[in-house]
Amino acid sequence: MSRLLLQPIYAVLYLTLQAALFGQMVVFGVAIPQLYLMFLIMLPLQISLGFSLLIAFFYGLSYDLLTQTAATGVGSFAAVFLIAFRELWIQISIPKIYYNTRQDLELQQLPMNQFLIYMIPLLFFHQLTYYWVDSFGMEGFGMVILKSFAGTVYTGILSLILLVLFYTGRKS
Amino acid sequence: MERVFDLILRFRNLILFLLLQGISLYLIIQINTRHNIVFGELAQNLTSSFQESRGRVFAYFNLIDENDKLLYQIKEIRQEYLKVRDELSLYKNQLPLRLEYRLIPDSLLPSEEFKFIPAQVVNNSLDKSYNFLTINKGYLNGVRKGMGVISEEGVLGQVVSVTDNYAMAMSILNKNFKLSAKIYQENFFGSLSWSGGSPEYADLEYIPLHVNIKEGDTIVTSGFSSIFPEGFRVGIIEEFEEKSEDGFYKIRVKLNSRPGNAYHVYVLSNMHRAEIDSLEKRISTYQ
Repeated sequence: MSRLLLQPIYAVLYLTLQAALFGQMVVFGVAIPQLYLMFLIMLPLQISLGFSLLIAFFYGLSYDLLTQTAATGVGSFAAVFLIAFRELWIQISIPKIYYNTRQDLELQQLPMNQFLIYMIPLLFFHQLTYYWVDSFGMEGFGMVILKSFAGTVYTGILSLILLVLFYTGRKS
Repeated sequence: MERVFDLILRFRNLILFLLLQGISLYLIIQINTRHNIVFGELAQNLTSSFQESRGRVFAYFNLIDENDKLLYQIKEIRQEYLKVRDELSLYKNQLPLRLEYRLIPDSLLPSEEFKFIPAQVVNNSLDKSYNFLTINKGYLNGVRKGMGVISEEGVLGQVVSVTDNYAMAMSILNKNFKLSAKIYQENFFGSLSWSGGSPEYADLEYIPLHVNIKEGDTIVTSGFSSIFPEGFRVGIIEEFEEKSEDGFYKIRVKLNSRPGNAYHVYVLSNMHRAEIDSLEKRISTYQ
């Protein structure tokens, strides 16, 4: 329960770090680390889907307003999509041996390789949605793919470092 | 109602998802000009292509109606055509009074004796006793000495001199001009001439007293000369008096043509002129 109460603090922390630090670490003009997404990816499944969607919406919107990297609304759109897709993706990517019901699933308890299988496609899916909606058909699809790919790799690597540093007690 | 509520409850997450995405899209489109433009174009394209396809489909289903309408219109037009044709044949009988009808270019009336050469008046006099008018068609256009000149309104004069590109015509307002004319209603002919004075009036002579005439009767060309065909309108009887001493009327005719206003004129080329002349010459040898 206490972990759920910590979520607002996480959210603020992620967004602040994203705006102040990660957002500045752009590489080659295409790879932008969106580490703030870790908050949504790690969002406890004890929170109902409906509420998760609402959280994602406001979280994404806050990101938009705070960083102004894309058009307002793009962040929230992609974030809500991420949460919706996550619901499906959990059932596909995480074997049932790790949980009985949705509420039982502890994402932090997943082995690293399993966690990566869960996280990387989610990230990529989000990035794709984000850049596609942002370009809105104005940019070539190749550019959208490139940005999504670069963003996913960059964010993935950084989040791995973060995970290794801060999340301990993982089952191996 | 309960079922609806149940349904909403069941799909609440989906509804919430769609709602949030809707709000996001609304924000994207409303706040951001670039998206606004793109979305506007997209929506417009979608709507117009949809409307176009819908229009095509509806047009197909409306074909029967359209056919009926067209058939009805064809019927109407046919009736109109028959009516006009009847009217036209009616007018044809009154042809001498309908100058306009005769002014149809010769290509449309292939059997006509006269060919019309359109010309414009470039110089014109009214104030002299012997008035002339100059037109911009000459020998090269087929204009020859002796040809008649008319306007849409009536007789204007006769060509007296021709150069390559110009011709000079003796105006109806020339004391030397004589025109063989007749009273249309009575079919008696006389000689029309202008005695000077008002350019609106001329005199018709040699109409015998036994002819029953009245004011307003129409004077037309007699067709006795090869210059003007029969039935061209000249004017109407303004007033007349009986001159018992020589047995003829003295008729004042209000001229139909107004040489002062004439601009678009026609030179009348009689296709049989040479034939008529040679014939008349042959006769004159017996006189």
